Amino acid sequence: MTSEQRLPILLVDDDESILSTVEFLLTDEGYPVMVAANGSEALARAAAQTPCLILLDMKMPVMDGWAFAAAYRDSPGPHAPIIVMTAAHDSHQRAAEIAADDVIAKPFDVNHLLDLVRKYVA
Amino acid sequence: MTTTEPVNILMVDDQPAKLLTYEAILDDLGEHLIKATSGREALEHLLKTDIAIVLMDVSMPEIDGFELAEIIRQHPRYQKTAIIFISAVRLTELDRLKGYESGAVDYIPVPVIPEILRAKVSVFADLYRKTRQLEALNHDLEQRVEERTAEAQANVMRLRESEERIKVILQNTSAVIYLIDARGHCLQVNRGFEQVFGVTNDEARGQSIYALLPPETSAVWRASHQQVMAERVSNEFEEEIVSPEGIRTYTSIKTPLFDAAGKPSGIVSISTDITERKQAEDERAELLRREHDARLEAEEAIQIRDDFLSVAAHELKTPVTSLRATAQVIARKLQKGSQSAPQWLSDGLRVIDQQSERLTRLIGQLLDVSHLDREQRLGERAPTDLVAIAERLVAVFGARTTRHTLVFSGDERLVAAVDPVAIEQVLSNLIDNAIKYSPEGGRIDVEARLDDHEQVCLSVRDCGIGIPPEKRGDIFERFYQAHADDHRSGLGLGLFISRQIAELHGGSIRAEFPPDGGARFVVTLPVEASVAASIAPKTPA
Repeated sequence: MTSEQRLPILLVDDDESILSTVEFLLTDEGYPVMVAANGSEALARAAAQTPCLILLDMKMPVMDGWAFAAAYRDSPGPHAPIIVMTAAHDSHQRAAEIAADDVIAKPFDVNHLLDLVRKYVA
Repeated sequence: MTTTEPVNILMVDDQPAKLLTYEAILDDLGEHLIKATSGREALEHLLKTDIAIVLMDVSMPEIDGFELAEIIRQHPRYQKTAIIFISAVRLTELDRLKGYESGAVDYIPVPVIPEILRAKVSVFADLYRKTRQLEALNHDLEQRVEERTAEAQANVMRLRESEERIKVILQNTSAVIYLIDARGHCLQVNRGFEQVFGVTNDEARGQSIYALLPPETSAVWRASHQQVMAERVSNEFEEEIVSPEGIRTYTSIKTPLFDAAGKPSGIVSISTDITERKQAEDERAELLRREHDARLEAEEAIQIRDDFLSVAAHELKTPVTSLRATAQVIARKLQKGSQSAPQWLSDGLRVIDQQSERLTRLIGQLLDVSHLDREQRLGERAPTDLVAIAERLVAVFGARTTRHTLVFSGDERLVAAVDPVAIEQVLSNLIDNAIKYSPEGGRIDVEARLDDHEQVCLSVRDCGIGIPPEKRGDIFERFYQAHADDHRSGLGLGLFISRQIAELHGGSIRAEFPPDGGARFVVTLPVEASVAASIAPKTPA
């Protein structure tokens, strides 16, 4: 499978530096990546091209993680698994609220993030 | 004795033939006939038997009739016994009969006419019976009168005792008690009343109670009395009474009294002084109110603090995330590269990584305090190998320091039911402190083993600066820093949070200060940590 044929990972975060750092990390590991700065943008990206995995921040302007998750699940499938990335104290609670597939608390170890991504993307 | 019961008739004659004749004459009467042939024999009968009538011959040997009659009369029991003489008596002899003042005496001339004898005996027998009956009735009556009298006397005694008791109670209670009639005139007041109003019972009796009272009290009492009389039931009133000592508060129970016709005839009132109680109640209510307000304020302040901390932590974590990820990504990239990176660059990246992780821990502590305070909650407990955690932390912290030597010792495996994240936090805090407070470096011993009491024992020992004795008592308090004046880093929360976590596991934490310096912190946890009600399982992700 070439990189052209692989579905991208959708990375959603309103913090530009996190967005660019993680994008660099994933791209460097060979994953195609598309980025969005809020839920609304993310919905547009996902509609344009089906992602294989969504890394989702919760607290964002315009459309937050909760609204995105609800709208995304209402959109025609198939739906990619969602990993919540949050700086909230109770990260597991946040993840449970939108029935996410996994969760990683900010700040994270990049090796830990890569381990999680590998769990969902071949 | 009934009216038909036969009486005893004693017949005395020295000639048995005559006795037989009398017996034949009297037999029809149905009385009990006793025969005696001499005065002596007659006396013997009289001693043994109750005799109603003595029928005797006047002329007998030894003791004649008159002598016998005299002897009989001397005996108290026979003073009223009827005596009938049978004889051919001379007139002069008959005069002797008048000498007997009491008791019936009669005379039957010879020859005896049977009808006359029978009639006389019959009359005397009936008389005897009636007299006896009357005596019995009298006796019965007397006895009854006696009983009734005794009973009445006992009742009077009881009444007096009861009155005395009530009087003692009335006079010795601190309550204010009075009885009034329907018009409000005093029937009786007790000592409590006398003391409060300065009026004696004698002065008050017959007076209108409203005239005795201060005007304010009078109006209030009149209203309560009218209510009780109208409603015809007992009621309780809280009243203020103005006395020379000031205004006192009473609770008064006023009960209507009823006359024989069922009409309210007066009131008995019992008032208890509740001034002190009421004051205490008021004070208590005021204190409760203030305490409640203070608590609300405090809760509000805590809520504001927690909200702020929550927002602040989130905002702080975001740049740290970026900082740490960036440093890690650069380090990875350098490692993957063909050229080896300069030492100063990899060192610098390691510092950024370590310090950003440290910053994360500090932010976490701030939040842990507010959450442990409020929710007293741990994450889900699971069987956890504590040796694995300790060894991992020894490796992680060991890699970060060049001056300290971290050494693990203990069992090969040590499984306990704990919240693994929380316990790792405790050990991290203790190791971090050990490094921080041994600035000269040196050995740090980390141990994990079962102690003699089958409890999990985790300990961290350093050879650093220790803690001055006067500060050792406070080290587990929130925000306490034994070395605050040294400007060492930290929030003063590590040991506080560690203690909270240990206690939530049903365990404890303590500090020891070995004579050769440094400090040893020991956490003990039950192996089968009991699942306390306050420990809720974490919501599944």
